[in-house]
Amino acid sequence: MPKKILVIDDEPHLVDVLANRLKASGYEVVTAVVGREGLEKAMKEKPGLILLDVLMPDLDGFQVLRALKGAAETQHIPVMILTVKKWGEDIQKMMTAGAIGHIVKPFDPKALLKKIEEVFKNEEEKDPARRR
Amino acid sequence: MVNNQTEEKMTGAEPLQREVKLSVSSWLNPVGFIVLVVSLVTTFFFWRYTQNNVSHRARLKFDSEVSESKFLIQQRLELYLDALHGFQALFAASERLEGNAWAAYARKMNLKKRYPGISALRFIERVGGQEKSSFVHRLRNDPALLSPSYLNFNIYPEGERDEYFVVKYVEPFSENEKMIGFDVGKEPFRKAALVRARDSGKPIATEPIRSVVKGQSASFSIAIPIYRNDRSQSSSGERQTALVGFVDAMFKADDLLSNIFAQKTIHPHVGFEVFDGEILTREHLLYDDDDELHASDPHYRTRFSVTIPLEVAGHVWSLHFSALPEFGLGALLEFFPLFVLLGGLVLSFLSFGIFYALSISRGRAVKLAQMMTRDHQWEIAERKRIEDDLRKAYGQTELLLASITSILIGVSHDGLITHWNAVAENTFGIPTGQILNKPFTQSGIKWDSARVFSGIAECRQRGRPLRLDDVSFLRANGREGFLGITIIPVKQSAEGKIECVLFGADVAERKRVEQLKDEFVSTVSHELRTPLTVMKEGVSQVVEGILGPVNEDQKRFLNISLEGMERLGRIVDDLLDISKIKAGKFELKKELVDIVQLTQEVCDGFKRQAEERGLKLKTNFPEKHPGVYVDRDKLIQVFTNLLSNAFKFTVKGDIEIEIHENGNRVECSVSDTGKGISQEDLPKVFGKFQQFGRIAGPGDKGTGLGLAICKGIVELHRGQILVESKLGEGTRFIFTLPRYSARELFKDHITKGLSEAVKQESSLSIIVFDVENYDSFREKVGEKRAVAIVHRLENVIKQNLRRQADVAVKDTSAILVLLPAATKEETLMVAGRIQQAFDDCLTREHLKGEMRIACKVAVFPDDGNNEEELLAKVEGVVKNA
Repeated sequence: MPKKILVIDDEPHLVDVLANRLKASGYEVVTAVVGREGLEKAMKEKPGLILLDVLMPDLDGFQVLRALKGAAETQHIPVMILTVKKWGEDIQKMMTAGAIGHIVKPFDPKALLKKIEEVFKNEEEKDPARRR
Repeated sequence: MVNNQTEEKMTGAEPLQREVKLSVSSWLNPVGFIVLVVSLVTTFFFWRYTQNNVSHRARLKFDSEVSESKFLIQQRLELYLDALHGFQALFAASERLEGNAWAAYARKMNLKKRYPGISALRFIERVGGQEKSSFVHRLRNDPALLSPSYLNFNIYPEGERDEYFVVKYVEPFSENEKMIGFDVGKEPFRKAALVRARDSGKPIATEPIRSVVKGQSASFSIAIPIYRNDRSQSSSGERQTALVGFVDAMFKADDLLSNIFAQKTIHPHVGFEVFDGEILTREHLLYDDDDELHASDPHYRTRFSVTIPLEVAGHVWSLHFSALPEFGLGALLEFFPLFVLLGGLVLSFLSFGIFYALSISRGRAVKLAQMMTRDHQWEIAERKRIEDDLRKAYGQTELLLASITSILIGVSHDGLITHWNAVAENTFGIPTGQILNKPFTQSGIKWDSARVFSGIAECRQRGRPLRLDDVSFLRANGREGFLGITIIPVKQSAEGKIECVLFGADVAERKRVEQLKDEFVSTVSHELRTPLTVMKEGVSQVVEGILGPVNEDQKRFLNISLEGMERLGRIVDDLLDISKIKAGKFELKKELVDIVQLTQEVCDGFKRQAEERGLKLKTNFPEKHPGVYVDRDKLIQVFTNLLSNAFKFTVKGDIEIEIHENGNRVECSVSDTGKGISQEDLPKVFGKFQQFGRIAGPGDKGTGLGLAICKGIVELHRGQILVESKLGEGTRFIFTLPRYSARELFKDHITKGLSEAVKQESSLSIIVFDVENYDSFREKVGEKRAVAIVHRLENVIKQNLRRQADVAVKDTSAILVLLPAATKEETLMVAGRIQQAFDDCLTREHLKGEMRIACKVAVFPDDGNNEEELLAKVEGVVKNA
């Protein structure tokens, strides 16, 4: 069973190319272009990793992250932040709120894939029972 | 213009003098003359009055002298007549008057002393014609009369007459002895007097007899009749029959009268003459007190003269008194009218003179005043004109100043505010009236005073305008703003006193625009990133063949696109960096960094490129690695930028990186043997988008922002960056960084913590743990273990910090702990807990007692208001590294 990744970003084209890249690398990809949709999909799909954009129109990245971490069904899902900033207060805030890392756009595909691989590997080590 | 005016003024003085001359001739003024006439009349009146007064008083005095003299004469004559009456009484008392009794009585009278002027006192007996011989006989034989005159007594002159008036006795006897026997009746004038006396029964004086001898005075005699007691004497017939004889006193007029005046003590300066009868001629003169005859001299002028008749024994005398030239009331009184006259005249003319002079000077003054007024009017007019000009100019200046949209503040050489325009009023909310002439240093303007004051001082010292950028200040509404201030020195005078004029422009707008621009750049950059990501990702996937096979040509072109996208990405990055640096939002994550190690890492990244390009990459590092307290990534960025540049522009030769310590700074340099930069371009090197002169070599295209970012980063680290270059020989970039010190490190953290604490309005506690004997401890256990132990202690601290916000910063041998929003008690508790944990940890490591760890605590705001004060509190612990 392929590892499932949820991509939440308000930029459909980015979601498209990113999903394509991840799929090409053997991941199952679920996408959402607004925060609310992302939350719903996280509940439903139970992804192994969520890539979350920060600046979004309805619910921003921080609010989505808090909702995810606040719900029992989703609080264990690792979340990586997609951002245009290399560093900043909001990133700091989200890291403290439970994000496990952040990817700066524009990203280097190889570095991105490597990071994602690491996350899954860590998750497996942490909780082998959860592996499906 | 000004010169013309002064000339006019000069010529204006000429007519003034002419007018003054004219005024002298027009002196006629009635007042002076009125005063003169009035005072002369007054003087005359007073003179006459005093003269009359003095004359009247002199007359009174003269009259009193006269009456006194008359009285004295009368009195004296009365006295003498009384004496004669005494003889009458004597004869009445005795039946027969004997010669002895007469002599005794007469002598007792003491004639010479008491009755001066009486030359002889005689008893004249009437002898009938028949009784002649018996009378002679009786006298010759009288035993009492023993003098030869009596012994040979005879009546003389000889002859037989009806009756004889014979001098029987005489006193004083010796001088008048020859008179005895003289028949007085033989002399007619005497006889006439005797007959009158006999018939009237009163004393009668004879006419005066003038002596023929010169100088001898006139004489006269007064006879008083003696009658028999038993006969009636009521008629002249009866008196003839009863007559016995006469007592007759002979007087010398001189002796008698001079004696009268001898009694007066003061000579009255009155001439006194006595005449017999009423005719005042020398022939009738009886007595004259001086030898000059005044009475009948028509040439003699006297102030006063008077003639008084005086009856002396049935005879009339004329007493003539005349004032002598010496007569008067005394010089003072006599001359008083003259004084009055002279004084009055003098006063009159004096007052006239005064009025005259006054009128002249008044006239002159009036003329002068008129002239001056004319002159003044001219001057006033001129002044008004100048004032108007000035006002106009001032108005224009004011208008100009008012139209200035900048803040304008004038500061005098002694530091007082001399000008304060409306813009300043509005900007600072201080009205002009409140601030004018106040010391500038106490003006109460809320701004970065220290910068402004030092700016003014510098401006005065240099005498050149000075520009201060972004001076922070508080607006009237309390909001912060920024001013661009230009200080212009204005030399006031030759003394070199310098006034300063401050032009200030509120740069908030500019700042806001800049901020907008930065925000815009930032937003745009961010917004660019997402599409860039999409493009890059899409193209990458095509190139990678994920979407199907791609031929070589397609791949090549897609790669070119990717390269462009990479570059665009870098530009966006750099733009973001620059805008952050400019906005002050470029946050540094500082840590202790081994700069040699860091530089080496960067160099390693360029090794392949150097090899490929055939360039020598040389490093020159010190043996002891200096520590710097920097943002690691940012410093890598600086080195990378500089090395990229060096590689870009160097075709052959060396690229060298040098690091060495210089005091408390670390100096880094990157040199190349490239094309170099021209002198003109050197100053622009650190500007934005500067790509000039240098032909880029192979490699990534630059963004034109690299060096600007380098400069920004170095300066954020409180360092400096410079460039040296020679065209054709190479370029060398040098930058310095402060050497790491624990104090610097801790201070940095405390500053950050404080700004947060101030923002949150809470406290900040500082705990410093210091391994006091770190050096000896390190020697004992070895460097590696020592570092490890300190690291372990740091972990111990971290484990004991329960809150997210708490921070622990480690220096080699000291650890700083910051506890936000903790009270002092809580802080001390935390410190105690950590020390307990240290002990446990060291015991486990079997190092108990080997390490001495000091602990100090300072709490903001209780122990200090700023990082310096707080650091001073924990000073013993934190030493400069």
